[in-house]
Amino acid sequence: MELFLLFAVFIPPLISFTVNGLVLPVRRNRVWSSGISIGSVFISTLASLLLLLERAKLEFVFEWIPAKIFPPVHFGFFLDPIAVIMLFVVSVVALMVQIYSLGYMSEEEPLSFGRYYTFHSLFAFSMQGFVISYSLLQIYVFWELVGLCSYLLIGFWYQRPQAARAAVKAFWITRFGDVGFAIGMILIWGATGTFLLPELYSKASEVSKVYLLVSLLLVFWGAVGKSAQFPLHVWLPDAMEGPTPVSALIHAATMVVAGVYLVIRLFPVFELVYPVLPVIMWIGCITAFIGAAIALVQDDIKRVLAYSTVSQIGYMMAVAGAGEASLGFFHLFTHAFFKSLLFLAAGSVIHTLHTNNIWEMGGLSKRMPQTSLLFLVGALALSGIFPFSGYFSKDEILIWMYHGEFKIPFIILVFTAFLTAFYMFRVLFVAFFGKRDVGKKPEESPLVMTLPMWVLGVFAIASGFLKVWFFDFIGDTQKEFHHTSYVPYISLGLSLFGILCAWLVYEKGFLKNLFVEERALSVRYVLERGFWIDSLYEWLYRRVLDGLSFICGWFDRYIVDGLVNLVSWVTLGLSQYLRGIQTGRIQDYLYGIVVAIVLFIWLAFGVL
Amino acid sequence: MSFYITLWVAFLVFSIGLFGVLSRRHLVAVIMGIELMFNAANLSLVAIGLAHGVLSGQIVVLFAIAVTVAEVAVGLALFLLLERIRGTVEADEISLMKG
Repeated sequence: MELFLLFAVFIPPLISFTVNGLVLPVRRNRVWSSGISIGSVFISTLASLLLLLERAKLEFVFEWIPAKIFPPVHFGFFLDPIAVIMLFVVSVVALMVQIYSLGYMSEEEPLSFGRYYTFHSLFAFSMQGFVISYSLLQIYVFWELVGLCSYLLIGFWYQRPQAARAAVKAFWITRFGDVGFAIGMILIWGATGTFLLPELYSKASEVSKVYLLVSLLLVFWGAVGKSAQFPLHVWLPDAMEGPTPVSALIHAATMVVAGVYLVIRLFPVFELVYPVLPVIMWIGCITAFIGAAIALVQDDIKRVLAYSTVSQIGYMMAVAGAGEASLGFFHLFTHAFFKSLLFLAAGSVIHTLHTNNIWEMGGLSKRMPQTSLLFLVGALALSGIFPFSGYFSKDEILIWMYHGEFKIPFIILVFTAFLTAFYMFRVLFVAFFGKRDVGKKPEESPLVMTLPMWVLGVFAIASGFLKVWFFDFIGDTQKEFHHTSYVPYISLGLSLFGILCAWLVYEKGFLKNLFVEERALSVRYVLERGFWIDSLYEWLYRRVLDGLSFICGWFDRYIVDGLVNLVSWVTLGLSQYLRGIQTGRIQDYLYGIVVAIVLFIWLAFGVL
Repeated sequence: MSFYITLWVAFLVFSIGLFGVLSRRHLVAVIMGIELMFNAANLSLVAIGLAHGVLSGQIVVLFAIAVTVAEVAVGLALFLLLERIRGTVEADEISLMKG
């Protein structure tokens, strides 16, 4: 039964992808293509809900690549509470986003509309396959598949040069991380002889520490690339060139947290070697801070949300690195809902105004009440205001950091929480609640777009109250919640202070010349360039890589080609002499034959 | 005794034929040298057959002579055509395969 349900989760999107991809009349037809795709995700949502209610546990393995000399490679499905919850999150968000896309993508040509849903089906299938993977190799396969879907959907409007460039950039940078993942995975396999996760947990402790450290850091490097962590976070803001629902699904809720999911999955292995977890924690902290800081000065509403995603994933990584992966997973759970809600709300505005710039919006709350309200819900959740979901998950993280004696990370993360509230309410005050009128006449989005937002809004509020159920479900019951801790008051106070600051600056005009006006503050100058990380990469590419290529090119042209040319030159010269043997006169050859026969007889028989 | 003498004669004839093939430049002379070598081989076959007291040596020789006749006829016809087409039957001047 559970196996049947599991197949019901991830096979329908595959069928939808195949039908949409192969049958052109279906893809050409708006109703058919979107209907099949949404129907398939609806089935998976139902099935994953049933799995969730059944508290399904499942292990199903078969031999994929049999081998005699090496241990065989297995393929299988693995359901534990974490995977079940993740399946549910992926299915629900994918369903909501696909319904929302009916409205958002309605201006597309029928064929590209079908293409959009084809990619979405492939993504749903690969993400679900990733979640239930049993072996590391299988994880890698689906990991690459979701990366491919991300590339295809970022570059969905490939006619626009920025979109095409952003797609290539995302692909390139995540691939740069994946190289590390692949090498690390193979190193682990070389030492333990297995890709299967449960076997890895038990066998990894026998591997030598240094070897394991190197391979685990390489695996984590893959997670850094996929989850847009410092220093590979630069692709995510650019990925906002894709359609907004795509950003909501792939670049906020599901695919980018694949790295966190991988860390959670491999947590028993990561725990074994000492400096791995601190590295994860510090990378998470740095990312959380950098993302929030850069988000302060972005004028593109989607880029604010993108940097915010970078920052929030930093929180998840940080707490996983601090030794409590389940808290990171809880934040992943709540974040998936409120961040996709924020993206969908932003998309609703973009859809009617045709601009991403928050300064070209203003006073939206009067004309788009539903969208504004839902954006407010998402912003409150993201800022961690009671009783929205972000409050519960983020404060659990902060409490853990504080009581786990991680003082400096705690200070960074609390300060980041302040920044988070500040940048979110900056957007709210500028775009939604301000008195400014930019002379545009936005209209509320149709029901097909607002309904998914309402569903996600309910989740964004409710998922926080599921905290006790959640930790009970994933079997982490021993955790004592620090009910008496004063940390929540600190972070809540700082978040409210952040909201107050945003209100003062962007609504009341306090310190206007410091924050609002361009180039007034050197901090803004630094932040707007994203700490020059992109410039650093450009410099690395232009100077270092080009220089290296120049040297390699010289070596290839003069040394490698030179050797080949030398060989051919020697051959040509020798052949000039050798051609003299071929006289073309028949009796010369006859002489040769006779001499050879005489020689042969002499050598063979010793006569003559 | 006559067996050895016959073999020596055959060797002598063979060598003369070989010398003719290698030294002559006119193709008709070359084919005459080849014929001499053939006959030397035939002679030795007959001699060895007699020494063993079997007839098969002589029978093979009869066949060989018949084949040789045909072969010479074909060869001469080729030379005739060569004379017509290229205007020469000198071996040295026919060197299309020169490298």
